[in-house]
Amino acid sequence: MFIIVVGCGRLGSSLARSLSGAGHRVTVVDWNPQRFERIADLPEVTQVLGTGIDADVMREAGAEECDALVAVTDHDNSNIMIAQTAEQIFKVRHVVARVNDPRTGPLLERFGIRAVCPTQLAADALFETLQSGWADAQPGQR
Amino acid sequence: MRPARGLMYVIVVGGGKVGYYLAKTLLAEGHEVAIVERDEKVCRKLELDLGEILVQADGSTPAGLELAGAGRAEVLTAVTGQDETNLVACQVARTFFNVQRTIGRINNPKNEALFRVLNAGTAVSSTQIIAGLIQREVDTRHIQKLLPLATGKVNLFELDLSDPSPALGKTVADLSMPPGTLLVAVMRAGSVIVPDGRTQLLKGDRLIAVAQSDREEELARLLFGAEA
Repeated sequence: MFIIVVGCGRLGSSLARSLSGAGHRVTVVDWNPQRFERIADLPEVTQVLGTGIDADVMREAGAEECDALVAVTDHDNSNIMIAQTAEQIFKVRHVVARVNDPRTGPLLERFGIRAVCPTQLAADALFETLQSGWADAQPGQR
Repeated sequence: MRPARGLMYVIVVGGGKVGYYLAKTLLAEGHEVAIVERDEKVCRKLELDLGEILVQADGSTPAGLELAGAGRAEVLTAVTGQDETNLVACQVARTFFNVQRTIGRINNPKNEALFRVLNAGTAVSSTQIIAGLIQREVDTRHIQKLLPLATGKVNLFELDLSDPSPALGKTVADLSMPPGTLLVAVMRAGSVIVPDGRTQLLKGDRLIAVAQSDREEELARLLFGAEA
């Protein structure tokens, strides 16, 4: 598949690394050229310099041809806008956004945006880990 | 319900310079206004002057707009420096609070299309406005699009008759405007004339006309000649 990753921070760069490692064709978009240092060892990944909220930049990155697009910039509203642009303007089939604020849930649902909230995932995982820790230490109690 | 004399409750998202002066202008017109600003420092600056109408919250979230009473707002205008925040604020206002009129400030004029596709309301681009004014200076045809109506199917135009034109000296009746066009006003020496068939067009007039988009060329040819 041809996948565009918007945002080359820690999350975007490691996602690009995984996707590329899995054999997908990957293009990464970021407005800050320094962030591409994170994927400097991945020559097969295409770098596009520009802001993801500019439709021209996204077109240049191949938004009209891509199979999937992931919006993982630092800003929730940017990711929401990028995801909506991808769906409504470029008709990308698979679109996922990262949101940091768990309270955006109802908003994403209304706008029909698929999203992952790392904050919520981490909170759930920490909760589970703590709970299983208690279960191990004190069998029979929670 | 809308208050008397066309006064409205307007929510301004973003307390920067645009938001500040917009709020002051609307208040002076008698409207009820709230400014929603997320940043604490910016809020401190606004507090002295506009403390009573200041809501410290993220205006691009349902919770923030709830605090500002968006449920009873007639208008929401999002004027932060970020296109994405303004877009989401307008969308939240419409979908969660059923605000009828939303206006978003955009930096990138191309985001206007996105506002339309996502039904987020009207996008205002200062970039586009300034570029339009510059274009008007260099436009040799002296025809300037002022306002699209019905999403551009019909446009409002200003036509400048300061240079020689085949229309000069003719009356509106002699001119026989093409179908799908209408001359609305003639601005002459500081006054505005609502024309009828007997109105004569003179050098230096500025005309306001509406025209269907497929009749624009015809209108331009009529007023500025074949080479226009």
